[in-house]
Amino acid sequence: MKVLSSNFIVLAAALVAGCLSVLAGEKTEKESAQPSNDVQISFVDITQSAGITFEHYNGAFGKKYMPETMGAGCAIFDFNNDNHQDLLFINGKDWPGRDSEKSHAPALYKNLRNGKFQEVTKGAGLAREMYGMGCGIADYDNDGFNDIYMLNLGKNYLFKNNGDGTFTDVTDRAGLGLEDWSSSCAWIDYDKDGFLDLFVGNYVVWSIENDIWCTLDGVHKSYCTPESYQGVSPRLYRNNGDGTFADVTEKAGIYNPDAKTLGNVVFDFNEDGWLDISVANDTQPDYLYQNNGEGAFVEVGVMSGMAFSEMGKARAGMGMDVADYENRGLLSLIVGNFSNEMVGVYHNEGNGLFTDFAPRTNIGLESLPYLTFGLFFFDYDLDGFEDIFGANGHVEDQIATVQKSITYAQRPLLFKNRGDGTFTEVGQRIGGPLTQPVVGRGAAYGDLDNDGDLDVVITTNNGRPYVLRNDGGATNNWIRFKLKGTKSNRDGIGAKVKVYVSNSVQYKLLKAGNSYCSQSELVLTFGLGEAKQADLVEVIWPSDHRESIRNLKSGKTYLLVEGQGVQE
Amino acid sequence: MRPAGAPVPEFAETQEPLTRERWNDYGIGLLRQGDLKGAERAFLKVTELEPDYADGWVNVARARLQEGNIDGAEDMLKKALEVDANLAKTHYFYALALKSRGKYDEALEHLRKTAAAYPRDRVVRNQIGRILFLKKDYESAISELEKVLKIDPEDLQAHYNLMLSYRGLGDMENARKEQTLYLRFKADESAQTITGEVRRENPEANNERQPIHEHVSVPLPWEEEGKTEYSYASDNDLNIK
Repeated sequence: MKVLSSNFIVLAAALVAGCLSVLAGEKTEKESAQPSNDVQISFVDITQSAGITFEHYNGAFGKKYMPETMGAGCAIFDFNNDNHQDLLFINGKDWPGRDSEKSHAPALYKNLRNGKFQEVTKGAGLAREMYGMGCGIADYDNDGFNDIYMLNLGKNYLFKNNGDGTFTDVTDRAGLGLEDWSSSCAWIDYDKDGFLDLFVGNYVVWSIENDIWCTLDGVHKSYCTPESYQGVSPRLYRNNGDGTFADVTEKAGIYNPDAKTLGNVVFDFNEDGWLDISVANDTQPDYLYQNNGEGAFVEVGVMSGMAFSEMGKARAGMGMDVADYENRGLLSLIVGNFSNEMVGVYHNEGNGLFTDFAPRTNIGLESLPYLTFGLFFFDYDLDGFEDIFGANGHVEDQIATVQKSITYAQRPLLFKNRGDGTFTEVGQRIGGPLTQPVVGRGAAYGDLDNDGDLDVVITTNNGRPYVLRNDGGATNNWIRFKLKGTKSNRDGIGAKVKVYVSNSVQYKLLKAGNSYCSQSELVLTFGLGEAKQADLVEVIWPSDHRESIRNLKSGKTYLLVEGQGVQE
Repeated sequence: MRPAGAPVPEFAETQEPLTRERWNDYGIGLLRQGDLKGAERAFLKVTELEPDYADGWVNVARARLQEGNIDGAEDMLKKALEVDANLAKTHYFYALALKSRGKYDEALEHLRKTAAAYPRDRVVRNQIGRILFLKKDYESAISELEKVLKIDPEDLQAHYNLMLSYRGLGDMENARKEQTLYLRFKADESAQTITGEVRRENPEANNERQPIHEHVSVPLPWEEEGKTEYSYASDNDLNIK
């Protein structure tokens, strides 16, 4: 492999700008946009056989306290740097005065590299009870090991990875012990200083004392929707680079006490080189914080068209994600919403405007009966086009008594990208666990068995998770990239990677925080269809350093080191 | 109020127009209550009693549209068109079905038929404007939405989609103006927060807030606990033979 000259970088930029046909000969973009083949793929529930016995506990005992129905998320990450993805499940606990005999801590499972996982929570120092909602993974101190931020009802925790299989609680020293009801977070180097900063999404002000009585049937208590609860502002913490963080929420223009945040994702929506933050709020407008490049953000959600439904009304935003699902160099946004609300598909027009493409993509109608929490883009069949996975489940277990068409447990949705800007729901056809109704909450993806295709983990409320192995996805060719920043943050979070194959280009951004309360692996997977190699790989690091590599063979995971190209 | 999920009552089945009307009214009530399945059954009864009454078919479609059953809705709308090809509301709901499928051109055709019958219907014109925006025909969208504002200058949806359409054209001055108007007329989503404390401290007010609730009689201060304001005399008390 060879690091290319700056001339080639200019050429690559021209490719991004749409001059594809100059190099690619006669074939049109539309021709290249057809999936290479329709491979036979199944998702197999390996939870039990893999040795995963974790069950989420929400502490419910009939009082229907609001937080009980909201959790919890999970993470797929490599905590011991053995290049095998491990699993973390977030857990709830008993309410005060309801101490059950069993402990209900989060659970860390080590990948044993043979299809099985071993729980190592206690030895890792993570066996601590908390009323957990979500988590975010990143190497905040650039020491080469991924750390964990846990988001809770009550105090949040930062666990530093010691590099020896154990973690140390450094919350107080870091200054990240926020004591709100937090849900999702995103790691982002918003000021390009090489250290990851932390955006924290918070939900509402809730306590047992201020709980409100709600009912669906006029008789029994039900879980409330959040309208009557005060929102909580998101928080932005600037990483000082010495293991401590400074709360810059107000200074950076993030403060908004009306927010009722459940999901967030970082992307550069206007491609100006500065990472922006999108926020999904429940019964409040969604936000789009535009980074002005001077250490602050301006909220532009309303004017951009992503804040509301077509009626100009706020919806119940849950999980969210971004991807270039049309392979045209712009990241579009998806947002999970309540039942009888379509999943929002906000098509990035490239001029600061997002247009709701939910009906046009076929996603809107299919998603209408579902209450979508976990939601992410991934290329499950490795055909070079981003597909969509949604984990669904209602918040109210008695919903069917008043809305006969809506169920509490709901099957997941898997939308296959047809390569023409539309999607087809294929979960029903693929069958197996994709047809099984569950009370889905978090969802994440990662290659758990290192076969090149992306497996899925769904968490359920007060139930077991579903670890779904993708069988057959790797029938198509693939290429994977793990990043190592040198000037940028160590994980390369926020890096843009573009893969050119024939006359098409795929663009992905390495994200730490998407979907709902969950974190997917910090490895980028590109489907190559029938192509045997990536002709050109361009990386734009968070530091703005650009480099390109030519002719990378498929079927491998490459380590891309900032300034040094590929290391085998 | 009929408890949610309870079976639909059996009205006396006659062919009198009144019976059809009662079923239709009942269906509308259920639709508003959010009982989509119950509403669908009631409206199907209307179509059974009077198949030539196009509104019956349209109302079944309305319930199915709300439920997301677009195929089923379209079946009903086709039957409504067979009965009465000119009923404006059929064209309107057909357009909504087509729009949810992303079939914008066909949806526009039906909406224009509705608009021809009811040119001052801002709901219809808003839909036309929205679809033109989705088709990225921003100038036509603006033209249509301006008509809405001539009917109701405070129409929220029109201001919202005008903002987006001007944004699409890159006319930021007008986009900002429409944003200001939209935000001025829009409900403040956070306003309900102030109800929290009231709901906690006043259970009876909180009860009124629930979508389905029962009213419990509250004894007057001079009444004994457990007794109500009213007592009923027997026939004997009133010397009724």
